[in-house]
Amino acid sequence: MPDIAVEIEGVHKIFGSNQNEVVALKDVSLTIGREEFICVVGPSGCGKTTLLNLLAGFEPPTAGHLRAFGHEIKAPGPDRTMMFQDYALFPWLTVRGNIEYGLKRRGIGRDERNHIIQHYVELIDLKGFERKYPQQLSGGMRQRVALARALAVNPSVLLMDEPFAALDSFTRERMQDELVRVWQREKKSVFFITHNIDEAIKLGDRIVVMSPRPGRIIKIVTVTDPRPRDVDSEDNARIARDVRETLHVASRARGPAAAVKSLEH
Amino acid sequence: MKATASGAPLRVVQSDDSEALPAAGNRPLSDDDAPAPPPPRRRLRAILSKKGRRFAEIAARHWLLLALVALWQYFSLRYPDLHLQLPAPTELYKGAIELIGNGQLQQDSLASLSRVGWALLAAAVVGFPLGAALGGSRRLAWSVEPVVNFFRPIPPLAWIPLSILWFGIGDAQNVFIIFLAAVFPIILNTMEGVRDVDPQLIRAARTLGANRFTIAFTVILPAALPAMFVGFRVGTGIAWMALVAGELVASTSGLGYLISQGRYLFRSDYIIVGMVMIGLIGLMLDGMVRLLQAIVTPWRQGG
Repeated sequence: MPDIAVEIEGVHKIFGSNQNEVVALKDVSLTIGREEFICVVGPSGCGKTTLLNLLAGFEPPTAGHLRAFGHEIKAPGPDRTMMFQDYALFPWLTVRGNIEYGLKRRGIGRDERNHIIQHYVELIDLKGFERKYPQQLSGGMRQRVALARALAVNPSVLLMDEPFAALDSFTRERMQDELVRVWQREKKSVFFITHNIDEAIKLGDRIVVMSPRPGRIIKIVTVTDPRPRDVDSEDNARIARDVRETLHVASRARGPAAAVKSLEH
Repeated sequence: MKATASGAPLRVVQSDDSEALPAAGNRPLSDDDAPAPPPPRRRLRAILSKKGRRFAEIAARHWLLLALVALWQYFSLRYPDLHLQLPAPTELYKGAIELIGNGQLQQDSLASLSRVGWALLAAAVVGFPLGAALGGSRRLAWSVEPVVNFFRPIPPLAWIPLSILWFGIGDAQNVFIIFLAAVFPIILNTMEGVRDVDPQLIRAARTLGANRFTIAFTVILPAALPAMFVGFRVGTGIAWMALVAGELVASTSGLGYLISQGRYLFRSDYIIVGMVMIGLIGLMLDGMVRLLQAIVTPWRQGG
């Protein structure tokens, strides 16, 4: 099918062995469409980061299949770039150098590199900062550079691991708006992990709710509102309540509601 | 005209401020002066007075040192019997002129510097790759680290007698001692630097399409570079001390030799001139390594 970007099919991931076995993911299946924005919410330990690492190709699944555009995911590759919570910018490279890094690895010529860098520097609104080092930038600016670096190699899938969690709430909201704007222009599939339900509603086409021990998908909610979205609208508030309730019930089933607490920052 | 006057100097003022007095900002400039004069000149004056102030501050910080020298001079003149134990600064000056005049000070400084230079080069050639290999490969470190840890606590000076039996008295023996002093800090810091590379950076590079080989040179090397420099700087400092000690015992040239000669000749002014020279060159070497560090790792300001 042409409009499928990523297929996750019956994936299990088990860490450790025998007595110390931890089931990080149990029978996870999900299909991500082209240009679809997926948000994953869940308490810590629900396997969302493990799933992301499998999608990136850092680790293989214990069982099951992960495919990107029909090809089995075996190793990291520039068709699936990743953004990290703590930016993971190369501190010894300037803004320009960071964006250029992936382009050089792909063997893109100098003129074209300059052209692409120009485009993304403008897109993320960092013109005039090309020669600055990450250390000289604010958190929001760094995360924008990380976004530009991830987009510059023209990936089909963008993997984002709580990218805005370290930002203050004002900067976070600006970054969310900016991400939506960039995503609407560049049209990628996005797999976005967050522990913030409002953020998920604001950004996602679908919200995937996960639960820990063993990590699994317990609900998928579709958000149809056109963007930009009002998180406080009646429909969206209902979705938020629904997601919260689902997580609550899942953690109740096992005892204390510690899991939900970790979501309520 | 106007653009350069109001544009460029302003930037200089700002960058100066952000370094020295982050809180003060531009305020003193606009408050101090009368509102009438044009801004360009005001800024220029501010820059000059700032430079002047900085220079004055550096000079002022040495007041105690100067006072001590003056006190020393006073006591040497007051108690001329102590002439041999502690000659007056003015006599040191005469001694220094004498040593410079016959070229001995230059010769000995150069001899010492070239020994340190060769030893540091050898230490870098051995220490950086070995440290990087130990940091990168747990299996290699498993076998080699005990060897390093065994030799590391032996002071380089303890090697002097054995090294004299091996190399005789001369350059090779001295260089060997200095090499031993410098190589361990380089190995250990490089090893730590390579081990401490943020795994997220390696993952980021992998998702951007870098292979293992490229990652070694585009991620691990630059990430470890600051630690490598720390090792090199520490190594240089220790090397310089080991050099002088080595030359005191077993050498026929160099600043350490100059000092021990001074003792045999009862020329305490030579001894002290040699000591001062050792201090000055040590300071200069450290300054050079720091300068190199600033050039090679520009992203670490003030690191």
